[in-house]
Amino acid sequence: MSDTPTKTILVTTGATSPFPSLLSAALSAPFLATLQSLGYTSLRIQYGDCQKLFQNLSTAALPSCGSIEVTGFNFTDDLRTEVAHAELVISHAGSGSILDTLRFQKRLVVVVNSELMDNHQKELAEELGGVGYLVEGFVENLHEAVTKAETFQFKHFPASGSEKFCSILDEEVGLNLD
Amino acid sequence: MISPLLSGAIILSFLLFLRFLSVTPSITRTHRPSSFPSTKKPHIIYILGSGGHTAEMLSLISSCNSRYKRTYMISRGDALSAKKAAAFESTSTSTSAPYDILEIPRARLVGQSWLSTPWTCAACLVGCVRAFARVGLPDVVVCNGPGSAVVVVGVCFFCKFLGLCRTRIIYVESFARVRSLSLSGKLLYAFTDRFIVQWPRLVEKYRRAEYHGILI
Repeated sequence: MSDTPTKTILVTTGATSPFPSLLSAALSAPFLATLQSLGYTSLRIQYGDCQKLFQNLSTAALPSCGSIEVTGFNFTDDLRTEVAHAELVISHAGSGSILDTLRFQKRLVVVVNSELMDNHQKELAEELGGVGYLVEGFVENLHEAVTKAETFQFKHFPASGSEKFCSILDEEVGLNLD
Repeated sequence: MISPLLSGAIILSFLLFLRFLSVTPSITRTHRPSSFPSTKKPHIIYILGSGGHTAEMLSLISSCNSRYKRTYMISRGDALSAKKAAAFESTSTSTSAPYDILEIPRARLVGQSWLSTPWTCAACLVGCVRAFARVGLPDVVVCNGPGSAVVVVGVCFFCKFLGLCRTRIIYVESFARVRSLSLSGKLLYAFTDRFIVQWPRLVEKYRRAEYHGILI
């Protein structure tokens, strides 16, 4: 193990639908070059069902990787640990992945999977992007989104409103709050 | 001349209709209990859907105390949600009150044809009635949108109609729904006592919806 500080970027493609175009973008030469210029040392990719594609692309990308170590996994029960270790997260627009990242107050780029039908994920990404909680990215120019996210002033995402909900629950049960 | 049988039927259906109106929260303003008997623990049912729904529900109730008797209803075969609920219970600060995890058949599988949906819904319904027979009717049911929740809430509503319980139905729309309601939300809108959304735009569109910020 070396003592050089690591700087990790995490890419999640989602658990329910494959997102091969995001995988390709994350292993493309211009994107990897940008990561190197920004000082990243590790690229973690959650590739879902696209294991073959991930293996092929990461082998092909080897010459462009430079000092970046590329590793991947299909799914995890514990995305939060992965998020906690990352500087920046590039996520598909699933609410679980988005929420996990925002709760850790991590820099977040969200890429909407345009191949999905009935795309209310797009609405969520646009809304959160509009407030400034995240940067919206596109597979065509992922490196630009990452560059933007590096200096973007992200808005602080609020903590869980669970206590508010619990008081509603107490109200409905008829429990006295004092 | 209208036969006495027919007129009786008409009067009966009219009375049943009035009863229906009187228990439908969107039509008759329902009253929540002003206090709960201290000798008894309130019983709350949380409906866990699957992946995203379960994660949202557990986050939503993460700081709720254990003054309640809790039942988690999960879809059959959803071992992950059962595991998450058990893990959630083991980490919650107080472990005094008992809890149950009950399985009911799924109302509809992802990608299942609409033609076969009535049958799976019926199986879900039977499973739901059995579950209620086992743990009793709840004081509150909390759901956030999986298909099976529609059936569970339907059964609760019917029991209210029959006067068997005064269950309060709380629906919390998913954080992911920004500009429109989910199908479950639309179906349950009129029958919930509290309809909570997590984006302000939905309040403009739906009169009965309430917004208290992001709750999960």
